[in-house]
Amino acid sequence: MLAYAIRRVLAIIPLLFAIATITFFLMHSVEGGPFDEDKPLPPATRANLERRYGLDDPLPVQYVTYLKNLASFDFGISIANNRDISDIIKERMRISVQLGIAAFLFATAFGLTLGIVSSLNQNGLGDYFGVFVATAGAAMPSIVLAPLLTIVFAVELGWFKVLSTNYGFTGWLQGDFSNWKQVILPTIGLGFLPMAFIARITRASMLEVLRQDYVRTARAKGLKELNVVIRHAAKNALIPVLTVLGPIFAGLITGSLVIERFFAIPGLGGEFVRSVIIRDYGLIMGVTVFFAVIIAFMNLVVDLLYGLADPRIRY
Amino acid sequence: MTNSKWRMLLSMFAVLAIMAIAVACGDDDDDDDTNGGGDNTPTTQAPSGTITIGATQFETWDPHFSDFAQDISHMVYVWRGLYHLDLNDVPQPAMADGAPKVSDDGKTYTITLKKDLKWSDGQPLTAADFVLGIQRTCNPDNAGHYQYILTNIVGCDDYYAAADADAAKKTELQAAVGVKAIDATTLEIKIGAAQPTFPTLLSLWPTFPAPSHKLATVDAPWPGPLENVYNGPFMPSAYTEKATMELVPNPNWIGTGVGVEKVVLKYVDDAAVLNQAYRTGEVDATVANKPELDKLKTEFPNELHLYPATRTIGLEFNVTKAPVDKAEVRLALSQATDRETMMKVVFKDANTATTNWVPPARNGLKGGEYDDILGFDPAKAKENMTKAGYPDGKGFPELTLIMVDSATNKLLGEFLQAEWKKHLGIELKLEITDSKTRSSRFNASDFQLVTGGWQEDYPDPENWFLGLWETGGSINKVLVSIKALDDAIDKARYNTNDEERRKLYRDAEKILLQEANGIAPLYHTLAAMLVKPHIKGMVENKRPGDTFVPGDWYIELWKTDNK
Repeated sequence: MLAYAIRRVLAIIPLLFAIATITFFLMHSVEGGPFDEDKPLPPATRANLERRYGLDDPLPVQYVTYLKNLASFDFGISIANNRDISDIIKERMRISVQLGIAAFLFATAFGLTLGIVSSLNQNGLGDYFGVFVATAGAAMPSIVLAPLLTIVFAVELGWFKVLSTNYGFTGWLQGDFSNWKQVILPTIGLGFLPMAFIARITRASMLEVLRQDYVRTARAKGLKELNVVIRHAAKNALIPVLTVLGPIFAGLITGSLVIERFFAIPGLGGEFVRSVIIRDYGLIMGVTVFFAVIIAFMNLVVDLLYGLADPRIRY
Repeated sequence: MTNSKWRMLLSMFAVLAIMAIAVACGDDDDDDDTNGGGDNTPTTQAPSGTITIGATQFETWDPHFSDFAQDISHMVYVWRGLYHLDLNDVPQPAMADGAPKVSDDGKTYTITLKKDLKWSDGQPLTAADFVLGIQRTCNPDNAGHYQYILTNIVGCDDYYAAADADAAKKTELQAAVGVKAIDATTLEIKIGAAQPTFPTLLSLWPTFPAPSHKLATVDAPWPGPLENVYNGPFMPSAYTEKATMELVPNPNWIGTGVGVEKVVLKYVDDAAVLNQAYRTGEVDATVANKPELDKLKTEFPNELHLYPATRTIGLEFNVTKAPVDKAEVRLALSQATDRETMMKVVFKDANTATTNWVPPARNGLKGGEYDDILGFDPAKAKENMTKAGYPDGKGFPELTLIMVDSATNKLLGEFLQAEWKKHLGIELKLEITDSKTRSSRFNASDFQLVTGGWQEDYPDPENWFLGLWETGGSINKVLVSIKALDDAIDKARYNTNDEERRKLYRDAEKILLQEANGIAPLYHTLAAMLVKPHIKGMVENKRPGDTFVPGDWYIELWKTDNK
């Protein structure tokens, strides 16, 4: 397994090179550059700005320079605010990861519970409730859900805040829970869709497993129902769920434009979209490469976890 | 699944349970949403209370580099120049002790600083700091966006153009920039030609001082908000990028006493979200979300403030591209556009219809002077189309309007399509792009028709002409080239007779608009702001250039009844 893991990690290097190359040329082929502002800049200003950020070099030269810097983990400077790109990514990511983990925990906890409860009450009241929530969650994009949560729970009921500019749990570790009104709505907003997804998969998978012979055998030999469900059924039913949890986790921690925008959370999702809109070349590259690394590693982790969950899988 | 995994799952439930209990425990937070309301008793001398405003994250903290509206609003909170514009846009002494002494030829300005000026860290603020500020804006490596407004300062252009020169040459050019510290409190600035608007420029961010005790060289990086020093009424005491900034009074501010203890800026990109935060009292003042204007008018009749902003948007024609190279076609398109209906249908009265280029107040006019030429008149429009050789739109070549993707712009595009089809019988093609693509096409003059215009940088008619409309002007992207227009702008530019100068700019506007040479103005934008009644000093000090809240340029005058 170690050899397999090392092989996979090494395979990430050419992958990153390919992604960096494609992104670089794709990005520069898009019309409009960082200095195409609403108000045109005088040519002398534009020339000095392009020089300041190394955009006056021919494209191949810029490409080689970029790769050289990338090899030494130097992402360069953001054109938008002259800051070190790795600092920007680090700061934004710290927030996105916290939001992502919270949403992931919410989605997994409620998704699994709903799915299991639904499957055990197939066609019963609990099932109808579970299926209703799962369908509503899947049908309601965050662009609808987020403002809805704000209007109902922040503006009308006044339970929570509209602005979650101080989102995060680092204060909680020191016992400072003062931002609790800022963390709940975004967590639900981001976690609702994956929760619905996890609930559906869990339900389907549980229903299939509950009909297996070995479950019938377990019941026939007189085991308690709770034991049957948890030890025999759920354990096997969760393998397909595990498959989707990895990508869901990677998706959640890399930021969400919509949730970040509607709750004013300074995360990486908004930063990434903004970098594309304003053609902040260095930041686009930095975030893309960073996302690629995260997703590649998450896939690796999930593949390795299969081995733990299912002894039949060997590397 | 192993036992430890189940334990993890259980602990997730525990976390969720705690969150649920926290929700049920109710409201013990410190929301200051009691809307004080209407008390006009003057506040005491000592600053008191906190005002939270909705803002946009600045791009750069460097006043000698930036040209973004949100940056500039921040900068006037914390720094001030030699002069500061009053509500009538007249430069009043800020760091300067009185008006500048101007030589007889109008080319040398001698300015005395107020005594005992200090930066927020207690270090003396001297004439050398103003020298360094101007040199930074002219420095080619800093690449300041607004260098062009200092083009009249001797040597500034030469220095700015020397990007590829060696270090020694750059040092020489830096020293040759016409700004000198005669002594610690006396500054001398030499300009190439007498310029009546020069004192106004000395009120703007490109001429703000730079702390020479913090910057070893002219191209040293500009310190961030918490590392920098300030000479304005407020200074940052806390800052988290993209989230919030807190401003507290600067103990060394030389001006009148400030009114509030703290100003908190919340950085939010979306005006709709900010308006929700205004409803819950999380912000006390913010921009109003224009698409929601109808609703806001009934919801906050006394807290919504609409006032003219100095921005004009119109149909911009590339006068070298058929069919809009023909004056008759440009006039016909303008005359076939019912601006009044457009304001209601498309913009919900968030803008005001116009045919003027320069906002009339800025130009000493009443407005409506060009309605006869450019205003809605379908019969005239038809006649012009016939004159241009396209009776009832027959044989009219393809015409494409490039617009930035937004819900309002799409409405505007459809409105123009319908109007021109109805009155002229022509088809208009819309090309909806992102903002950078539109700007790139515009900057390359690769377009027939765009919607666009100008946002004023400084309050003078010259800012509406210089570089924009002269033949070969540095930002003349509609490629207009008219001798009479060139002459009028040329004569006006360094004309020291203010009345004559202003008249020349009015003449220039007439020449520009009589054949819609490059532009047919459609509307002036309005600023739309929400301010809680417990705040004083904002609405009273509103200016057309406000970005975040009314009275952006006079933070020292804000007060609140909320303690």
